[in-house]
Amino acid sequence: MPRWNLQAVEKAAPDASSLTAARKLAVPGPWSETGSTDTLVWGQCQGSGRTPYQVSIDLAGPAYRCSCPSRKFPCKHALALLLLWVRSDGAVADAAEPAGFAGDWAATRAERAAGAAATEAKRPVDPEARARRVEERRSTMSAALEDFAQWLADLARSGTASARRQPWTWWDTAAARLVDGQVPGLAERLRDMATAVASRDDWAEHLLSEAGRWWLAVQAWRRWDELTATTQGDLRTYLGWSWGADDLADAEPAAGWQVLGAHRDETGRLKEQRTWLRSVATGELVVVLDFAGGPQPLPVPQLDGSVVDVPLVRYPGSAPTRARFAASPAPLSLDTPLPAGGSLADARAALSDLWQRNPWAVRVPAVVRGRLVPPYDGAPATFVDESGDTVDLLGPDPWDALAVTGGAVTDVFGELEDRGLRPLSVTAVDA
Amino acid sequence: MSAPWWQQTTAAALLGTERREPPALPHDLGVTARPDSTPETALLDAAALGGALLRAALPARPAGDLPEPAAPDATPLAPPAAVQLLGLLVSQPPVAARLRPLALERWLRVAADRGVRVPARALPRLLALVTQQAELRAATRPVVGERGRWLAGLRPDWRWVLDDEPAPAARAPLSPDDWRALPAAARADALPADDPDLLEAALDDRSDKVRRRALALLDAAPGSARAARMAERLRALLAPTGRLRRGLEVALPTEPDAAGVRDGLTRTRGGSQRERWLELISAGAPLSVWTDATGKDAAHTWPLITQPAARAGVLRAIRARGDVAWATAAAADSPDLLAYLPAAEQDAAALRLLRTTKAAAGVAAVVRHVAAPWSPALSAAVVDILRHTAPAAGSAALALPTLAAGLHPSVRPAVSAWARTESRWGSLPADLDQYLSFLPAITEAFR
Repeated sequence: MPRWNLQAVEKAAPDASSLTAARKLAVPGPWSETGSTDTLVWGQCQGSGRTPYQVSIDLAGPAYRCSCPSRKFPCKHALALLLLWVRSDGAVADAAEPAGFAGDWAATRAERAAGAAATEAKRPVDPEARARRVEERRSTMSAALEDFAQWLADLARSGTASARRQPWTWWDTAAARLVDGQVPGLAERLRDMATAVASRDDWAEHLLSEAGRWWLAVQAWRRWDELTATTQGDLRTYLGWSWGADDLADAEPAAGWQVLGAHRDETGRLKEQRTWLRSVATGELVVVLDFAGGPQPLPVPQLDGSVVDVPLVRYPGSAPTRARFAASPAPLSLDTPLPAGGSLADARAALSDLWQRNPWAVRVPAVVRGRLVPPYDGAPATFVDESGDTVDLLGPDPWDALAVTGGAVTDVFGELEDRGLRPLSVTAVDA
Repeated sequence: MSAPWWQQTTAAALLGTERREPPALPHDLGVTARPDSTPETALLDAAALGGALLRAALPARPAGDLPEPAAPDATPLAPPAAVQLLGLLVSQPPVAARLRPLALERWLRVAADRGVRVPARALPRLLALVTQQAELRAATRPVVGERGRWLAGLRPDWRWVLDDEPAPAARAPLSPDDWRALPAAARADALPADDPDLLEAALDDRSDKVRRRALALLDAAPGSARAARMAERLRALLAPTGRLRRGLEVALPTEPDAAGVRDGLTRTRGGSQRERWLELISAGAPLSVWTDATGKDAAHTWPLITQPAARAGVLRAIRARGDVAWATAAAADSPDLLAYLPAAEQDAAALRLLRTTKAAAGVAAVVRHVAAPWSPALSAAVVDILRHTAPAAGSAALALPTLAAGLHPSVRPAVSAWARTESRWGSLPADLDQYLSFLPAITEAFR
C-alpha cells in the first residue's frame, strides 16, 4: 500500500468540523493498543465512557470501523488515528499481526467480499431479463426527458429574465423530477444553474448556451438508435445513466499509469473526484471519476507524480476515456516528472476537438508550458504560455502552485475549461 | 459566428418568445430550420448552435504587463525531517493549542540560527498562519527566503514579511536653542535623558507636560543637581537610632519651599501631603543617602526602611535606575525587581524567593519576571512547588505558556510524574509534559 500523507487524511474527512475534532484527539494521550500493518491501522481511544472505542481502518478500501455512536464516516476517532499514524513518529508502531478486534473485522470483511464475488460470478446472465430492464429504464427516462423538453419550451416562452427571478425551489423541483425519472446527471446541471444565474455576471449567456446543451441532449435521446456507440456513451454519462458491470468491457491487464493530478468538486450534493492518468507506455490519457454523496468519503486520491500499476475498466465514450480501477493500484514509483508541456493554443485546439465529438464535454486535460502569474494590479491569477497567450486560472486558491513555481516558466498539468485553466500539478522550480 | 444574430437570440431569450420572435438562422452557417419548428424550438435550436459556436471560438488573449518571477535563492533548505515537523506544527500541532506559537517560534529560531530557509511548498500555510499570529512575525521573517519575500510582495495581507521591525531611529543631538524652538509636546518628547543641564533648564519650562517629563528623567539620574538637592532634603529627615545604629527613623518633610516645588514637590488633592512628599524625595534622591545614613550596604539597609512612603519611593528609584544591588535587596518584597538583575543572578534570586513562598500564586508572581529559559535548579523548584499545591485564582491561566517557555528540559521526568498523579491542575501537567517531550525533536530534526 502507498503510505498516506497528511493531505490524504484531510481529504478523507467528511467535513471540516470532523477534522477539527480529530486534530484535538490526535495526541498520544487518549490512545492505547495502537498498531499498523501494511493494510490495517487500529487503536483504542478513551472517550467519555468507561469502555474505550475500538477503531480499525482498512487502508486499501479505504474502510473504517469504530465502536463509537457517531454517524459520520469516517468518524473523528478514525481520522485522529490516521493523523497519528501519518506522523510516523512511533505513536502508531508497525506490527506484524493486527490486534484481535482489528484482525477479526478484516477477516469478516474479506469473507464477505469473497462471498459477494462468488455470488456475482455465479449469477447467470439472462439476456431477456437484461433487455427488459434496459427497456424499462429507457422508457422511464424518455418520459422524464419529454417532460423536460416541455419545461425547456416553457423557459423559452417566458424568457430567461423571468427564470432568474425564480426561487431556488423552482429549479430544485424540476431537478427532483429528473431524478425521479432516472436522469440524475441533468438534475445536477439544473441545480448548478440555480447557483450560477444568481452569482455569475454573464448568467444570461451562460444559461442560454447551457439550455442549448440540455436541448441537444433531449434531441439526441430521441434519436438514440441512430447514434454511434461513442456518442451513446457520452450522452449516457451526461444524463447520469450509470454503467453496470454488464455494460462494460472486461478489465485490461494491469499497466503503468502516471498520476498527473486530481481534483475534487464538492460544491453540489454529490462530491466528485477526478483523477487524471497517463499511460507510461503510450501517453494516452484517461480519467477516473469517483462519486460520493452525503457524509460518505471519496476514496483517498493517488499521489501526484506517482506511477501505479493497475488494471483498468474503460467506459464507452469519447477520449479522454473514463475508466475505473479494477483492483487496488500498486505503486511503482514516485515523483515522476510531468511530460513536456505544449502551448495554450494546442490545448484550446484539443478542447475544440473534444467538443466536436462530445458537445457535452466540459473540460480537457492539458500539459502546458509557461508561467503561473499571481493576481496582479487588480487582474485575476493567470497562466501565460511562452508565446504570451494567457488564460485565467480557475480555483481553488492558486497560492500553493505559485509558491512552488515562483512565477518561473515551468510545466503545468491542468484542466482547461471554457472559463479558464485549473492547475492540478506543477513542476516545482528551485523550491 | 454572426454577432448581431447571437445578440438578437440572447435578447429574445431574455424576454421570452411570447414577446419576441427569435431571429432567423443566418444563411452563412449552412444550417436550415427544422420544418416543424415553433418559436420555442427555434430559440432552443439557436441556443444549442450558438453555444457550440461560442465555445469553438475561444479567443487567444495576449498577456499585459506581468510581475517579475522570484529571484533564485542561495540560502540552503531546512532538512527534510525539520520540514516535516514544520508541516506538523502548522497544520496539526503535536502540542496543546496554546503552546503551538511557542513551539513554532522555537522551530523558526533554530532554523534562523542554522541559516536555512522554509521550502517554497510550505510557505503559503506558514504565512497564512503567521498572518493570524502577529507575535511570530519577527521569528518568521529571517527564514522565508527569496520565495517568501516574492509571495509577500504580491499579497497585501502578507506584506508584513517585507516590513522590518521599526528600528528606533537614532536621534540626532539637538542644540538647546533648537529644542526651545519646538512646540511643547515635541519639547517633552525630545528631552534628552543624558543632558542634565537641559533637564535642569526644563524644570522652568512653561509647559507642565515638559516639566513632568523632565522630573521623571531626573529621577533616573542620581548624579544630577536635582538629585543632590533631593539628597539634602532626605538627609535632614533620616536619623539612625540605637547605639549600634540598628534602626532608622524617617521623619516626614514639612511644606516645601519654592525650590522644592520647582523640584516636583507639589500639592495634590487628597491623601497625606507629607507622605507624598517623602515618597517623591525618596524617589529622587541618590540611594547612597540611605546607605550613608545606616553605614551598611543595600542588603542590610533595605530592611531598616519601614516607613511605607519611603519604601515606595525607594522602589521607584530602584526601577528608574535599574540598580542591581538594591534590586537584589528588595526583590523579596517586590518580585518585579528580578527583571533588573543580570541573567546569572536572576535565577538564584528567584530560587531564594521561591523557597520562602511555597504558594502557586507566589510562584507565578516570581517566575513571570525571570527570563526564559530557567536554570535546572529553578525549574525543579517551580515544578516541586506546583506539584504540592493547588492552583490559586489566576495562576493556572498565567502559568502554561510561561512554564513551557521557562522550564529546563531536565525537569521532564518530574513533570511526567506530576502529569500521572495530578488532577487539581486539569490538563496543565499533561500539556507541559507533551511539550517538553516534543522540544528535543526540533533540535534533532535540524541535525
